[in-house]
Amino acid sequence: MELAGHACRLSVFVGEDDVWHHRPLHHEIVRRARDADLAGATVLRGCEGYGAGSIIHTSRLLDMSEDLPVVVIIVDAAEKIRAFLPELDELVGEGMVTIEDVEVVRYAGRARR
Amino acid sequence: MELAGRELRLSIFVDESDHWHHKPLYVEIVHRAHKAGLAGATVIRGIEGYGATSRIHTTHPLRLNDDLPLLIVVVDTEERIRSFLPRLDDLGIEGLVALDEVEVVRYTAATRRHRRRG
Repeated sequence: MELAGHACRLSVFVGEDDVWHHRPLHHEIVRRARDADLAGATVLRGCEGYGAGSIIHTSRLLDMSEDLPVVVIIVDAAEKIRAFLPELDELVGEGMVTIEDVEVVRYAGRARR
Repeated sequence: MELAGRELRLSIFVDESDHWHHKPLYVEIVHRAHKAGLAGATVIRGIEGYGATSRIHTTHPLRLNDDLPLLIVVVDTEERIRSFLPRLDDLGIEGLVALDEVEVVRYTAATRRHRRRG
């Protein structure tokens, strides 16, 4: 797949315990991104954070370390990212979604093992 | 080192299992950024992801997870970042290398408490 030059980065901030039909929400987002043929997705786990719910979740205290934040990062051409947004409308009840411009310097994969 | 205002963020997505001459690739990238005098580098481990090969890598309770995604973030001036990029060419990075603009609000180092001898 070709991906070079001007592209968009989509960042979706949700809770690690958020579910979609009994499965982790972040996994559903990644699965749908792959099904939509987006170039890639990476899920990062935060060790501390808060959102619209206003409770600070942190890994530093055992009783506050539930539902830590995760962010799903997806980079692809602007049109493909924007076409994917309606899927997020359905999935993300509580969270934040941002889009930024990025410049792709390199995007390469390996031959199938 | 002065770093303020509009700068460039370099984001490199690779697999934790990627190697270069028997060393973890991310270790080599950070080492080269350090050698090039870039302001800093942070490696963040992802818990799930896929890239150009389309296979989803994810943590699994019963399997060794040695190929999870890593994100390496480096921020510096545009000139330093762009002149650093060719130094990564021979690594054959399989993954995503992307640039975006950021505004540096604060970049400070802690003052040394103990002076090193020599």
